[in-house]
Amino acid sequence: MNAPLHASLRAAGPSGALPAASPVAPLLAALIVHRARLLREAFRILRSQHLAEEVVEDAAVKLCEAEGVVEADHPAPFLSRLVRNLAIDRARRLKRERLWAGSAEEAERVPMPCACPLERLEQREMVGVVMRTLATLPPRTRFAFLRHRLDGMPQKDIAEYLGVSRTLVNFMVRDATKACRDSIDGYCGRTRAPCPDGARRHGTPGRDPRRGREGVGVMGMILSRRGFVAAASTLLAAPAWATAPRRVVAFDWGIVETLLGLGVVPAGVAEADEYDHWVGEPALPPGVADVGLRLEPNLEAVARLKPDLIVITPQLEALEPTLARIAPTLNLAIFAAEGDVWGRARQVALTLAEATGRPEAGARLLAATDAAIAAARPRVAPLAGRPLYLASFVDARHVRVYGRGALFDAVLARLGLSNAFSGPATFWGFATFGLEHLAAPADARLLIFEPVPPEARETMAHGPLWRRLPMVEAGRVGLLAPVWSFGGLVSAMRFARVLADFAATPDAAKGDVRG
Amino acid sequence: MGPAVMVLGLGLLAVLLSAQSLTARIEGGSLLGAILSPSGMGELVVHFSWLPRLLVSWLCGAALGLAGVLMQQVLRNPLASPTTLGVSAGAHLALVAATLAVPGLAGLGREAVALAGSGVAAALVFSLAWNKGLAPLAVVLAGLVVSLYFGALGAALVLFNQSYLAGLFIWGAGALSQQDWSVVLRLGPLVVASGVAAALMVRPLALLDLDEAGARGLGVPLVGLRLAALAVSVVLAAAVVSAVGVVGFVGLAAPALATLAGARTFGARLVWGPLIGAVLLWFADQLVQVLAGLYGDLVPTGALTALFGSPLLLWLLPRLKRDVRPPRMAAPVREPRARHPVGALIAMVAALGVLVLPALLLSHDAAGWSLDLSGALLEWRWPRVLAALAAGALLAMAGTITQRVTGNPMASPEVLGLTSGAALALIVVVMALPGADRATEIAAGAAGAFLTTVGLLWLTRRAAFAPDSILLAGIALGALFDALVVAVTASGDPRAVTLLAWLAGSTARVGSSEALTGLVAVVALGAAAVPFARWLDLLPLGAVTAGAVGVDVKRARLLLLVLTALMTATATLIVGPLTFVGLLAPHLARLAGFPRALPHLLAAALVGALVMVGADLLGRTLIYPRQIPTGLLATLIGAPYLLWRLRRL
Repeated sequence: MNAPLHASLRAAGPSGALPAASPVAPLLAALIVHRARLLREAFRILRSQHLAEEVVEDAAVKLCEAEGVVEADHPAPFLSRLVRNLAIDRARRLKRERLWAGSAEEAERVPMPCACPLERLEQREMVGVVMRTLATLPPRTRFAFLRHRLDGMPQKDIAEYLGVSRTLVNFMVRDATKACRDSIDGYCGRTRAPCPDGARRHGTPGRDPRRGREGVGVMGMILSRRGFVAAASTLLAAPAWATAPRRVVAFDWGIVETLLGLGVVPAGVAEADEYDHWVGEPALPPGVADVGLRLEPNLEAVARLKPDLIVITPQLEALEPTLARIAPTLNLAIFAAEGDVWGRARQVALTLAEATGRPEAGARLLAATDAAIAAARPRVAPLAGRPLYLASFVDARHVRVYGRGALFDAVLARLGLSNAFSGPATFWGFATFGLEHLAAPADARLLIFEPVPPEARETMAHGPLWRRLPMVEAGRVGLLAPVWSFGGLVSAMRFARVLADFAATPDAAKGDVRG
Repeated sequence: MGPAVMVLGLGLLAVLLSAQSLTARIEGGSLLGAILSPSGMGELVVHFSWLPRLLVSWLCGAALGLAGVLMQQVLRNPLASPTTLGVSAGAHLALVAATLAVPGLAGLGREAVALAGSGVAAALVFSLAWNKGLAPLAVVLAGLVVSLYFGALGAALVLFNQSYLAGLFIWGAGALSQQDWSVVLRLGPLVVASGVAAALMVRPLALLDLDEAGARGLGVPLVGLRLAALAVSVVLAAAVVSAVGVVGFVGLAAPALATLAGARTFGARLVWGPLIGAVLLWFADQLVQVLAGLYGDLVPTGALTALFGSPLLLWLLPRLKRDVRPPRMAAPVREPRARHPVGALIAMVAALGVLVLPALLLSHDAAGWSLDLSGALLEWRWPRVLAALAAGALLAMAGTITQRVTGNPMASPEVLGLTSGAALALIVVVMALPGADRATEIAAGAAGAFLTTVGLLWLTRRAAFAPDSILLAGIALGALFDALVVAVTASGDPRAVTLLAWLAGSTARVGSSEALTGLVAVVALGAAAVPFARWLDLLPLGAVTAGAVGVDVKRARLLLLVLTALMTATATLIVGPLTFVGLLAPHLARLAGFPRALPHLLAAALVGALVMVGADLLGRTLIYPRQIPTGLLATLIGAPYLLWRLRRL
């Protein structure tokens, strides 16, 4: 009885507004007349006033859609039938949903988006494989691939941004895609893992895992933009369909400032009081708990905060399994042995934004950084003529100079300034050496970050060699306001601004007038 | 090969390297011009940086060589060196404390602060060894304990304030870089004056080659002479430490090289030791400059000398003259005896149970103290409480066995360098293989402890594993380890700070598997020690006596050392190399009245567990949410007791 009616309803297709004297008008009128009875009948099946009303409304909608198809000689029994059928349908669906889905609270308690931890592990590994492959790509290629795939930036714009031809961008994206695909093929072939979708077929013996494009299924998932973001965020962070994490704990200050830059106030931060002293901006709002030392967090204090997301850096990798027992743990690095710090700082911001459920804030932070750099670019023009040393005093005789791999170096490059130091550096991007090494190149300008230790102030006032350094003799020395040197995009913005502010002072012009 | 040949050979190498580093810097200027009237950047750099650095390397090398010669003569210990007396640890602690407390002070007089710290440490060592007439072993052990204690205090301060102390890391590794002549002008007269003072003492000091009674019989004022000679070497070492930081091994290697090269008499050593020291440091420093190229002191000179020194030291150890073995120290005569040993043991077990309860349940947070009965924190607490307990018991047992085998009340796994060996291996793993998992680290640590034990056995095999040789070798290993730690921390690598936490004995990262491993080790290794009870009772009587009543001394020592190594390796991986429990617990157990081996072992294990669980509880709660590492706190609690004990020995 039900099926033919449905079939006929489906055959009818949608229609426009209800004409005043249509054939269903009597049925609708009857529906209005019998509404109370129909509600009772639906209620008996669904046991919910609210759902009963919905079902009756559905019935009305169906009648409207079925205009010209349905005609009933006995409106009242027809309507009861219709409403009861709809109610039974709804009840069955609810039962099925209740079986597979829970309430919102229950959803939050579900730790994994997929049923099988093994599968999740494999997917996670696979994303890890792709991530690692991406990390090995040349910075420009990776940039092009990520912008194109993740941000949906047209290749034309990428070409413009990088200052290369569109063909090259096209090639770069193609190469990166191929590299990712190869790495996934290699992974599936190596582990014989029951890879999802098309990739599973590579596990079957007798087939060349590299033959053809059968990995397209999983590739499609990972290499499509939405697929990648979804995979990365669901696999690396909290379940995407649960509520976004609200209580985040972070230890590294670079991560903390990035979180604050995204508008996320962490629940707990390591060495919270020291953060104010060394980073300071953006300020940590009061009420953020201290969770111990940056490199030795207090697990009890972390657990007590009941976080739903923990962010660590590779320095705390050893603690990852332990922390993962408290909450999903995300391991992010702004500084690493190789690769480009700028791309990683941006990627960290994007990943954090995704993981905290506000992807738009990530895009905003990236845009704000670009804007800050763009705004600082003309303002730092007075500094452009000379290579710059960026240094902090560590004691009276030694300086820490920032070079390749340092965030500041990346900012300098984007401001169109050149770094006077290009020697080997630690993976944080600095090298420590005696002042005498600052003698060359003679035309450089030396910018010293505050705070200057007291004994180094003595050197700056009286040191015989210091006073004879070419840039010191010519007065090409400036003091910069403190900036956290191991930070992320927020520190980068601050550095750009500090540099621009310095360029506006009379100090910046000193030593440029010759003869 | 005469010492002169050695000086000339090393000097020639140093000259070649110097020529290269000079041409790289002078940029076409002339050396004469740079010395007399520098003009142009190249000549200026040479005048204000290269030349003073050259002279500083000579002066520091000579000063350390002289200090080493004096110390080795006075302490009659070929492994004594300026660092042995706690000089650098004292200077380091003073600088850390001054930098944190009065930031301006370090700027005004870093040298004065470091000198004061060294002086305090040395004075403490002397006062501790005074009752023994500054006897060599007493001085060495007092120096060791003071070094460890000051080192622990310094490490604690660094751990909680590392952002403020970056400059100290460089200083700690001995960076010779100079930018003016002030250090040369300060050090030069001091070295000359010390040389004159030492020359005046040549005759009486040479008589110390005789044994103590012989020297006294010839009218040598022993205490006064020792005090004067040690004072000169402390002043020299402190001056170097305060000027350029910790430059290890030159003070140790220079006199040894002089001896090996044929400087047989003390007078000859006094001449050639400083000369060899100067050439050695000159060579090392120029090598650093050439290797680093124009940019960077990426490797501080002090760290390089440490790397040079380690193979040298290992090569030296088997060649040491046995007849300079330091005299033994007598064990305390009267030993207390518990009236009811079983009752006392039960009381200790009960005390441990009572202490474990608050350790598991007591919380201290922003809201104040509270007992957490919900069990929510238990998940985080039990592994570290159990691990602390196990580590304490293991170290205490290892200490008891070591003290009984060596017959030396100051021996312990920490002193023997077993913990250092484990720690060294772990540092290598952490620095060389970033991201190594815990299992790799555990394996590496165990391998390190084993290698150290094997090395100790091999190095001391000619002496039939004689206690004193083992002790000396262990102390040397510990010194090598310290130098390497300093070098690693000076690299500025952020991973180094992770290591600092573990080195200080943090139990915060212990997982359930490690805790259970520790417990299994306590039970298994403790049970394994039981059959050796008879040996442990007899060995403290001395090798001759024990052998006379039928103990195969060599085999007994070998087996017990292996057992100790196992216990130490397990414990070190949990709490790091720096605790005093292995030294402290056996003493406390003895004082509680357990002179027989088996009850002593059991009581020591209980005392060790008590101390470590207590330290864990305090370290976790005192400055919540920061945590004082358990091993460090145990040291801070235990060391004063040991210092007091030392005075009475």
